[in-house]
Amino acid sequence: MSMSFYPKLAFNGIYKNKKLYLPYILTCICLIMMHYIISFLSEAPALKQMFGGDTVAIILNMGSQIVAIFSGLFLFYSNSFLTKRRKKEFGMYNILGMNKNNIGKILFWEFIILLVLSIIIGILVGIGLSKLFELGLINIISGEINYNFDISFKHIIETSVIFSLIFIFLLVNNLAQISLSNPIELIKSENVGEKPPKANWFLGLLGLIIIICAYYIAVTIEDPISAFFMFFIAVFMVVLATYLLFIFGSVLLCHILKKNKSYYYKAPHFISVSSMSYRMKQNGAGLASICILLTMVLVMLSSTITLYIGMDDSINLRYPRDFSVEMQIDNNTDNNTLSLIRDKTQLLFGKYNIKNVIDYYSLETESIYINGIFYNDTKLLESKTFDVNTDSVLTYIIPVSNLNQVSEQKYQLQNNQIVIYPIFMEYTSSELQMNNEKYTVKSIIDDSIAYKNGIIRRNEAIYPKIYIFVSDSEFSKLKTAENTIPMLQWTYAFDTNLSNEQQMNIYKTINSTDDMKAIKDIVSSAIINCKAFEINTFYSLFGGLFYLGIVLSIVFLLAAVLIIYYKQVSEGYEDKHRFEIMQKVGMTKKEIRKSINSQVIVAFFMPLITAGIHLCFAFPMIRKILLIFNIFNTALLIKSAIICFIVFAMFYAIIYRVTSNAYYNIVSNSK
Amino acid sequence: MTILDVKQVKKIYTTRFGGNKVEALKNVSFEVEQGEYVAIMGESGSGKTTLLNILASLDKPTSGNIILDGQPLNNIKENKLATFRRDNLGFVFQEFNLLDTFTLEDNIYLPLVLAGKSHSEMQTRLNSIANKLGISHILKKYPYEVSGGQKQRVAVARAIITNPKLILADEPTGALDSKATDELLRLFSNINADGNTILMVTHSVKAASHASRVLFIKDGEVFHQIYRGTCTNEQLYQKISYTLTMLATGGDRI
Repeated sequence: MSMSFYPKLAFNGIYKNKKLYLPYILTCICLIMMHYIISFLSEAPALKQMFGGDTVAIILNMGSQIVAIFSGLFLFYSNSFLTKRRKKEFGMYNILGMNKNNIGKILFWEFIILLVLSIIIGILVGIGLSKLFELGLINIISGEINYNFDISFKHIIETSVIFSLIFIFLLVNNLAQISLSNPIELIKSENVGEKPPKANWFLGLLGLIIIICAYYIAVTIEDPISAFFMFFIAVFMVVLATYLLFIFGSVLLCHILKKNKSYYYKAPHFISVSSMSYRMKQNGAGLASICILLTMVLVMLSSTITLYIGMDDSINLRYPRDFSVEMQIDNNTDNNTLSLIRDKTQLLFGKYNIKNVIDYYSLETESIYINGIFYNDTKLLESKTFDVNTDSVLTYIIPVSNLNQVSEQKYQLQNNQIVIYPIFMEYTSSELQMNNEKYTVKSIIDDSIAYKNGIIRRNEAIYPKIYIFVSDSEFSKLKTAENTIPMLQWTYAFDTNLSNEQQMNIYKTINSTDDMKAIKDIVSSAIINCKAFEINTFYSLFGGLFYLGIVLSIVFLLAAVLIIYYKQVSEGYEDKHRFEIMQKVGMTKKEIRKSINSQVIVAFFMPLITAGIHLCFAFPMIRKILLIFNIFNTALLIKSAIICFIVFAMFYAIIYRVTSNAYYNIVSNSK
Repeated sequence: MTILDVKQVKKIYTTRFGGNKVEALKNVSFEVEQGEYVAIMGESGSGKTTLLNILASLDKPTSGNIILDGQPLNNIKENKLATFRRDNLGFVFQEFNLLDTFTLEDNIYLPLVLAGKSHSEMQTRLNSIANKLGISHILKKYPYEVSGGQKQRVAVARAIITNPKLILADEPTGALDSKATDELLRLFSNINADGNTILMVTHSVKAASHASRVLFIKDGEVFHQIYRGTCTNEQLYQKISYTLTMLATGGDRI
């Protein structure tokens, strides 16, 4: 026997089954490519020099591991499908006189061919595209672009080793399967009689109940802080229910339809309903997996996109100016010290051409809001019963003169008059009582202008808050009121003409300047915030996540597509026989095509539609969780969710067209 | 009354690239009377299956015509053929061809459902034949749960439930053991006695010996035929065997 006999046989085996192997090889190539690119990026030289590159590197490193694990699981799944199809061929070799040893050699060579082919092409394409992905990543996290082309041999070897290990594992698994079965089993393995699916009322209804509960939780969650935990419970329930509904619920539904004789014994329903229950029994788990993959990708993408786009707004709400200096000062600090601090701070930044200054004092307390009255007097509160978690309102008391400096509206207030702005709470009354003091609400600031002044801010906390602007003399009085524990805070914020780069340099060095040290000696809590720095931190963190989200979405989607394709092909082989019988019994080709078409469409689009429904019900939760990240732009979230869904649906429809053609070719026997 | 008239049917297969031509049927003509039970015999390659496919309108003859109950098959449009088949013909196949996704009952109902009959009518029809075929107790089962003989009886039920003008059987005993074969042949005789016309293609002498007439096909032509006349099954069996021997040894026309 010549040396090239087995490789030749192996090559022929793959070539003759190219309908099955082509998508398989393509998937291997894509997975290898993705793995190389992601692991390459995690240590890309360009990334290392960048600010925040470390965070991105960690995220990407995690991503490459996810891709490796996912590749292993997924290739195992699709390999088992391929083996099932090939068993007949191996049985035939066996009967023709090849022993298991020879078959093992063929299998071995097949794996060598597949592995070498996919690794070479995968790595080459990976190297080719790595620069493109790098540029994409740098763009997303707003880094600086360079034009060096790098190849990482370390990661070429790493990726090759990982995928070789996966392939060895698959080969061993295949060899074990072949050696454990006799030739007759091998030949018949494709058409083992399948038991009719039994309706399982308990599990089917359980799925329905769980999904209703999960949806109910998702829609009714009020408090976004506890939502984070409930979100995971609801997600777990949805995953469980999806599997139950796809596997058992669908069979149960078919069963119920069958019971309805006048519905079932109608030509259009008769074939569809009974084959559907078979299809779902076999494919329920696969379709449920696709549905969950799709839901995950949709939720992930639409929320990260919203987060990414909306974060600018969110940061501007938190940091209205380029820099802000904040310090908490003892209430009894005398005016001399106050002006000393003020002078030193102005000295610190004076050389930078500052503008748009916001300069205000505020008294920050946590009031208890019961029966329409705000209390922060500890004496008064002793006799009240309340729940700190639900009744407390963060209260900011600010002299109106500070507001007038930065607001277009100029308010003139008497001592008993106030201007307010409530956040996350309803307050429309024209009176406001604080402890025993009654005030007339002269004005409630309009939403449209509230955030323009830079004093009113939204933080990530989602507690109810109220800003109360009082006359200057009233402020002095409240500052030293008895039995209260307000904190006097001085905030000094301003814009500069400096570039982001320069701002960040100042920010990095300012803490070690003598002036800053002198300030800290007087007020230890003094901190400086720099918007440019916050934005940069955000982009490197969320930009990395966002990027990984997109890349992983591509990988998952690829997997979903291949699962679908294999399903179509294997169903095609099964349906071919039925197709022939039905024709003999007198079904027209058109009727058969129609019936099969409707089944395939249902099986195909059910995961997508279910994923859409999941997304809708997840929506309130996503919205509330995004509130924690200070994203209030619901319209943006709706828009990005809808766009994601439409893009997916279109992509999905294209895949459907392509794979259903493969299906019809098999069924109608034209090769 | 003549129910089936086969007139000078010829079928030539050409290979895909138009090279070789194979003449499967040269010139076949015969008639089948209402209520007859005709067996068609021949060796493999003699063209019996081709003939049956043409009779079943699954294939088209190269020339010649087939007239079923006064209706020439040539004139039926391609897209009406399936409906025609469903309404006029009943099929029994060697491999049963039951759909494994249906219960036996639903398998029998299939042609009626396609014809748009109501469920109550289907039930009445099935009740009237189920007992006769000995399948009433297995109707709720699935094909994989019953024996080959039972499957074939279900297939017979599916064939006759539409009251077809002609029942076509392709090697109906081919996949059955001898006991099941005997039962099935008795069944065929019974449904023939009820007035059904049966045309059976077979190479089993035993199966053919139950027919009222046996046609022999050789090299694409009707070579010979035997009428039962007053013969018993055993006598007919002898005659058929003798004829087959003659055919095989290449004797001249008897």
